[in-house]
Amino acid sequence: MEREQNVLLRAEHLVKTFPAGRNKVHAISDVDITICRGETLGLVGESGCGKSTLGRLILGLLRPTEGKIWFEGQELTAMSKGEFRKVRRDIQCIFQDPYASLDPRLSIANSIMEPLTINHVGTRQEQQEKVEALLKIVGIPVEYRNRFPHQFSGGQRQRVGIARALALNPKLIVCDEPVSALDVSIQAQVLNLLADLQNQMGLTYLFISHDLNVVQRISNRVCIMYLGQICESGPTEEIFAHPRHPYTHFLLSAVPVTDPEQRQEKELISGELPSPIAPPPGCRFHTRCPYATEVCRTSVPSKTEENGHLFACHHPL
Amino acid sequence: MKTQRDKIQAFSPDSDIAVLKISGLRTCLKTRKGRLYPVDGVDLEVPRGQIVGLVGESGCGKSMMANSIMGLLPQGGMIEEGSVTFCGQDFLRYSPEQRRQLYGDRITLIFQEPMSSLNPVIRVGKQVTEVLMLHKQMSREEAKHQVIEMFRSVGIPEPERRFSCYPHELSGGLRQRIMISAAMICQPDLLIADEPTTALDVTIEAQILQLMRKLQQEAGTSVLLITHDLGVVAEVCDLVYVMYAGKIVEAADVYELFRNPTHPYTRGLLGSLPNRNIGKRLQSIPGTVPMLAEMPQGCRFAPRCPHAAQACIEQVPAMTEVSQGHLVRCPLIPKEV
Repeated sequence: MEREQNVLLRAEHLVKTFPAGRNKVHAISDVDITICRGETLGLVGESGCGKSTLGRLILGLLRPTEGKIWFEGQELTAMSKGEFRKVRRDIQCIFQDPYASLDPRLSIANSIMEPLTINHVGTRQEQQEKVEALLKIVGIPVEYRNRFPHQFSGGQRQRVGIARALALNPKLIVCDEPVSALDVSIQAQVLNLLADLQNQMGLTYLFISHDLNVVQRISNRVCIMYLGQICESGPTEEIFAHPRHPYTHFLLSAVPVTDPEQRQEKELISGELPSPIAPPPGCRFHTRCPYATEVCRTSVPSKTEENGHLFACHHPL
Repeated sequence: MKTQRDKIQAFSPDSDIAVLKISGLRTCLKTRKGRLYPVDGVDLEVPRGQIVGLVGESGCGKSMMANSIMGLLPQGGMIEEGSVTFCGQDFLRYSPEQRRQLYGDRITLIFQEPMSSLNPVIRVGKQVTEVLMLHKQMSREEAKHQVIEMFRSVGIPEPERRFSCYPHELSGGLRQRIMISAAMICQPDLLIADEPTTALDVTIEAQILQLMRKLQQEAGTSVLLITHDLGVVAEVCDLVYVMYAGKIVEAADVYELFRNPTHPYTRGLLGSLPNRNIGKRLQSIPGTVPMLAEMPQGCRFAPRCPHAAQACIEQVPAMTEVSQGHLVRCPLIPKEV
């Protein structure tokens, strides 16, 4: 019950298909997702599994083919453009490559100020003060305010991207692979910054990443995606310690150990992700699953819940 | 030409001589900003049959080093000092013709993005067949047969059908397997792999690493594995060199390095790994790798080092042996850092 009140964003039966010639790409197929206030929800999967598409649906950058999204009880998918723009101030995003998302011809101060100007927040003076405050928060010297994106390193640019996302005091930030392009030492700086900001400002993150180590560190809950569907979700520790879906199990065992003394023969899944144009019938993982039986090939597994741990498998581990 | 070839093949393949020995390698880039040294005095050895990891962050010069060995330096780049010996012979003295005979046969290379190393308009089978026809003087028929066998052993499903595919018809993992087939088909002495799994998903990465290890053991190939990922190093390497700003800062066998990381940079890298010390705050390294044109005097890591003392800023540190085979470039060693 308590959780229900805490829900910030909820999506049900989301479907997104893209036309591909005569066929359709099934990017998202029947996905339910709930994000609670103040938590970090990790969304993990291999490339092509639809995790970025899901992020874009939530941001309103794409319209779902089917399904509904609610944000703080209001149905986003039923809103007019004008209404949506107001709500959209509370949902911001950070992308993988800040160099591509910052305008190369705007100084970073202007880039950070842009969302304030567009939404008519405060006077010019107040906006400038806000920009300085934001630069301080993300750890960029205020003297650099008039520099341009190309004058910064990758880590600093990502900090600028974060400052810009924070400008409108959002409630939810969709982070799409925010540290994947960064070196490991810089990645640690940015992850620490994101964690600090969450503590200070009570932010909620949807953290999309292919890197299980990063997700394990930053998330409270995790959703594992495979070929447009969420195959398992639950509290991070629970998922990492006791995966129930075979895909999660193989995904976790493929992660390189960072201690050579723990080297061992790995249980690997063979093959690669099937095409989302013609996803396999039944359980989508059955083509690569060593435990697959006849029932997996024919019927779609329903979701089972055990203490907040959801999984969709006919033969859970 | 025939005699040159015979001479090159007269290496003693089973001797104890290191397959690759680099000493004092200094690579220079002539730019508008003057001479820059992305590789500045590197000593490195790849013993026979071992996988040697070269780790560092982007911009530390690790790819430049591979390119120096392979003669792939960009315009304005040249090796200024140092020597590279391959199986005991001075490799840098070879004529371009002599080197070309080694590349693809005895020394091979895999890059991060197979799409940019494969020719997009030639069928993949033909691209691998060419290697055999050129270096082993095989007929097309013989070569094709052997390539299909190779495709099968690197785990390419339906190798006969894939033989006549174009690179764009294959997934990233399959393309990297094609590259590995091409690199391993002549059973080279040395394979240089520059970030071979960085572009791949974690499940495919694990498959490729396992495959590289298997082929390496079967063919007795030595591997120089260039990566930024300490996880990959921990999984497959025997020896590790840590590179920072053009210099090797620490070298040890892989168990020793992860057990006793000594250089503050190595410690920082390990502390930054998100899956170590769960629950504690990540120990990030402040600042960024210095620009080539703005290299600090003295120890190059000093501006980012939490332990930096006056000595670090003044003098260029030398490599010190802290224990058997464990070398560290830090002026504060052997004092407790």
